[in-house]
Amino acid sequence: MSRVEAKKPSVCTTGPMNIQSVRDSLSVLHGVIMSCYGPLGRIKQVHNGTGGCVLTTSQSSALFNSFSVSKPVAKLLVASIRNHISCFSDSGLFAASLCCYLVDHFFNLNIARHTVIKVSRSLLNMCISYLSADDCACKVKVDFNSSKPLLCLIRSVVSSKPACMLTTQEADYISTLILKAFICTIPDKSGPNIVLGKSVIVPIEGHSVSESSVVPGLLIEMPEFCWSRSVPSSGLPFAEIKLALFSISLSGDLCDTGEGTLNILNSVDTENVMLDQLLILGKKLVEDRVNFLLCQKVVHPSLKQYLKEHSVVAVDRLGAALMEPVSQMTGAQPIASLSSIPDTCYGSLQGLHKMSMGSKHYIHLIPTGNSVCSFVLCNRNETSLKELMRTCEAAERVLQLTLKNPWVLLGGGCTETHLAALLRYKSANMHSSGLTELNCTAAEYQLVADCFCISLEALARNLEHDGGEMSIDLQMGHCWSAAPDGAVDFHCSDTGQQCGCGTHRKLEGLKCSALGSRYEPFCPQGSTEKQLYPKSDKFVFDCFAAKCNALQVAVNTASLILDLSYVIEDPN
Amino acid sequence: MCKGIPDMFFLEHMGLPVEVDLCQWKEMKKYPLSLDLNKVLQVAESLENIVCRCFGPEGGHVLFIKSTGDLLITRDGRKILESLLLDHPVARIVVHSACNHASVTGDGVKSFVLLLCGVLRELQAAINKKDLILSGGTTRNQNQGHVLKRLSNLMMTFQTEILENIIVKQLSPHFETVFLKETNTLSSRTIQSVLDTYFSGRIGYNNRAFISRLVADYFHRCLPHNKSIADVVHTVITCFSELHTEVLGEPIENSKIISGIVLHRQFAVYCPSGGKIRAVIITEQFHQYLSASDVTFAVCSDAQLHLSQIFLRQRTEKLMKHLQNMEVRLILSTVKQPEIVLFYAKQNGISVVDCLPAEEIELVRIITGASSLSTAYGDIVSRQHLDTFLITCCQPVLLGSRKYVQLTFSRSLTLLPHSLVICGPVKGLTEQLVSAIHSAFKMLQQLFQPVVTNCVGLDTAKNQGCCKTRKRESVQEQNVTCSKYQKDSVCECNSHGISLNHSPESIKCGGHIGSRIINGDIVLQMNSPIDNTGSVLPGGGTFEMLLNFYLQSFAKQCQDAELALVCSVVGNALLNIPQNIYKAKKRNTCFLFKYAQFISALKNNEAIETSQLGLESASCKYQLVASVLHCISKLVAIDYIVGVKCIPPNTTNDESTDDV
Repeated sequence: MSRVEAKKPSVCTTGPMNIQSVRDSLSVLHGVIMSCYGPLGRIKQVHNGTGGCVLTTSQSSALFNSFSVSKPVAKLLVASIRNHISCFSDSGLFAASLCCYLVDHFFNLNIARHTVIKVSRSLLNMCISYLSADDCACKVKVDFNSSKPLLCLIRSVVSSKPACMLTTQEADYISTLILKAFICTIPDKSGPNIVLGKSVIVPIEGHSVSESSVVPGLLIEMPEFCWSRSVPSSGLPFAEIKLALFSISLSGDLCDTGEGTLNILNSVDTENVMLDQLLILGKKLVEDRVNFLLCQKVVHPSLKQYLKEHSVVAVDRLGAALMEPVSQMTGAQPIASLSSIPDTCYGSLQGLHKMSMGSKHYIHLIPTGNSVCSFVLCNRNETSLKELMRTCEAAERVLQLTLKNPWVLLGGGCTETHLAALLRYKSANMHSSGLTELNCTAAEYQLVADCFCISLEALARNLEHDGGEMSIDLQMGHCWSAAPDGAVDFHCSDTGQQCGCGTHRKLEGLKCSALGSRYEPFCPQGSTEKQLYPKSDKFVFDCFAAKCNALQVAVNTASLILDLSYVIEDPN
Repeated sequence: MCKGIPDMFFLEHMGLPVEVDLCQWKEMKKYPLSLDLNKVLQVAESLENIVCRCFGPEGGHVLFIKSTGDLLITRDGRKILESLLLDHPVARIVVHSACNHASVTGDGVKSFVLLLCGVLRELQAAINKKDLILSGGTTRNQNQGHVLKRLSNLMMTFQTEILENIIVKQLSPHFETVFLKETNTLSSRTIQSVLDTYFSGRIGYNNRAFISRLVADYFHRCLPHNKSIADVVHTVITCFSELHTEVLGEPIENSKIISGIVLHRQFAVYCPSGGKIRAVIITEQFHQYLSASDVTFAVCSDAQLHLSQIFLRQRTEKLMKHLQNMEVRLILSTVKQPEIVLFYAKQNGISVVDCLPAEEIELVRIITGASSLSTAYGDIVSRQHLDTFLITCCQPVLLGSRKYVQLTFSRSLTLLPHSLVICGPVKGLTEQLVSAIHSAFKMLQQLFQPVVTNCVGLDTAKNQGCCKTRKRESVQEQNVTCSKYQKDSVCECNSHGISLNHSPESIKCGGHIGSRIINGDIVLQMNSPIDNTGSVLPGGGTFEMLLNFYLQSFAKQCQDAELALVCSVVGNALLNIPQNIYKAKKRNTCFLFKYAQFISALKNNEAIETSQLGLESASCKYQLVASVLHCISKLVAIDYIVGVKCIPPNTTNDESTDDV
């Protein structure tokens, strides 16, 4: 009878969660993440069982948003990485992988959980304070006078996304375009309340990547048949275009009449009244010498016709997404009234052009200033185009973060190995006062620190997927890789001669140790002026803000997983 | 059958011995279900088993996966017990009482369960011993229900007559206060210490020190100089959901305090302006349409329609102009304003924030004392004085990946508004932090509770009126009072016991207590018997061990055997809490060592080493014992659970009936 079902009681799994259950739930996830990591990472194809859209990617943002996991611990990890990606769009795989390694290693330790958490926290603090210190040897100040460091940063983002299917030349070209688009979004004027402009991506499928370009201003798609309807016979206006931007519908419907009813007598023709109002508006626009009307919604055909006769270009159905960039670019304020329009609402454009790309036609709005640009992005097929779009968005976010915090970290595994070397050195020389503060023994501290360092080094080792050897030098703590015999590595032709980030060349007498093997703790040296910036310009840089946050998120999440003593599931 | 038939009481314990009781329950579907102390204890112990892993500074987290798939990571006893969705009637009573307790003190659910379990265990042991004191001379088998009923009354007597007394007289010398003696101002170090202890039981190991500092800082920043603490704490509690903002994807260390309040909406129109600005609140549509919900508009001619539309547009334009003339630069609106309003606002340089939740507007009203503006046309234009208020600064603020509006106020009537930004990697974790911080203020509220001494539970006061007056007369000499009082209560209780089965009055009394507890009012009616507000004492089980010591010594002198028994039962039970605090530690920190050290120090009047223990609110601790005693006195009085098909007129599901 009753349709209300009694709620089922929760299923409560008691802890302490044993090693095996946690490992089981994380192992598959970790395998997927690990194999995607780095420029040599493997590509994943994501599709659901019933067909539909296929996703080819190795990016954290795409992967983590398409996963669905059932194991509680994995859910926790995925949720926390998703949140990181939504803020920083980079270093997601780094965070996830580090967290998995940490959990895996910490569960092996036979030390009280709280001691592990406390020590790992102090290690994390050590890392963060080192990274934020000015004399940190694994970060580089970004000089905005030169495009070099920014290009390196973008290139390392682009090259770590193999699913974009780019050759080295194409990757370089795309990196330059990304930087160009980013520079376009920085407004010309300075002062308080500066808002970054926007680069609008226009995807075009089926063309070669090298046909991609960045154009200032906006591209609005306009099919061929609309073209003749909107553009007056006299053609597009030339210079000094006055523009009116409408955010309300100019369709002539009697809408927004309130919540009550409207009694309309038969003799009243509402359409006519509305059309009259529209035509009055049109007359006013013509009087004000407006050349170009843009409307977010629909424009009545009669009004369009009227405007066309008076050589005003009218384009409608702009959509809400483009309103803000248009307003920003032209200085026009979106008009929401049919009468009493002040002169200050109008914006200006330098020019209007017709542009055709592939099978599509666009009207190109050329602004007078700098702040909005269109990024025409081409790639050969749909999946790789989508991946390329995600990559460009991530790169743009990384650049914005770098603008805020003008530092970059050494990439290619060098930051990880450097930090690991530093932690090993510091933990070997730990003062007893620090230990009493943490309430643990020196041996316990050493064990936890070892796990932490091994996890960091494992990440650096993960960059190599083809069975090559990775090693760490015992002077600066950088990461060196040697490709296995026979494997052709097109990314760096002189493998083994350059460290992971490319800032150092192998010198005579530099002692190395295989990554993962034990080495005598040493204090990693900062680079001297002479060593830094050698002739080659192929550095690998990572975003500072994203990586720092990823490091913190990974350690925090690992501590959280370690601290769980129960899992309760509500099966309703 | 009872509402919510417990056919699926399903609690999986890996390797825990509590399975027995729950399996039994599964088979036993028949009501009325007889209930005795043993069964109650079994249920309570299964709850104890769950909470004790999360109890104390060493406790772990619980990951709760909601039916929607959302995560919640918590150490909050209340959340844990509620998320279990228990079906057993006794378990539900316990959870309900514990939650009522927590809604007052903000904390203490886990301690509640531990203490409850301790008392039940001790009671069980006392009854199982061939103890003739309680059975009043009759044999045990026949009259266990009767014994329990008496116990139930004894518990209440004990709480109102002995416990309060002992706490006021003997425990209070050990109390410290959060106020500095010289200046009568708050000691920030003590507050910090109280918060430290609180958070050590509530949030993860990793961040407790940071969060505790943050909350103490927040508390101090919100306190104006001349305002009462209670008001500020009250405002923070009621408006906490508006005073904090959760930010996901960042480490907890990024949490911070920002001045002013955060409106959780974006600007609909933003016109930057420096300096102080004037703002108004509106709660209705600014723009008027042709018709309204109770107004029908008749269109008679084309011209009429045309003119009325133009009139309405011009009306909005003029209104906005008028606001601009009144130097209003910000409109806060609870409803969504149409494009045309935003357009004219932009033209006149007025910023607009719309779709604001009513609670946030309410908070702005509390802070500024402003009322909302009616936008009836003539009203605004004719009135010279607009109800506006000044805002020091109004700007967009980026928290995490979302944009909000930050308002800073120049002065305030009730509190100096500050907003907490709580960061965390996952939603479930920030939720936990938010609820823990919210409860921390409840705990502080309880700490600053003004105390009315010895307000005894309502109806019991009538019965023992004579004892009470006697007690008041001789407050000076504790020992004499107690023994005197004991003699009285012997007679009182004995007569009580004899007349129990027959006297309708006493049965009514018992029933009354029960219903009061079920409705959850009793805890609210209680007042702490501690004289001063803001009393604190060292944590780490100090309260429990002190109370245990004094109860035991009182039990030795006590001449009434029954009360002495209850004293020692409660006294021993209290030790369950420090036992659980120190269980995980080794060697010189184990419980027995600590306890022995503590008692010997107490006997020799030595100072007890408390610097490491932190501080706890004495009022919360007393409340805990009182709530547990109430819960037990109710639980033991039940002997049958009756299932009913329909929902009874009052909200209680479980009725205690006497089929004797």
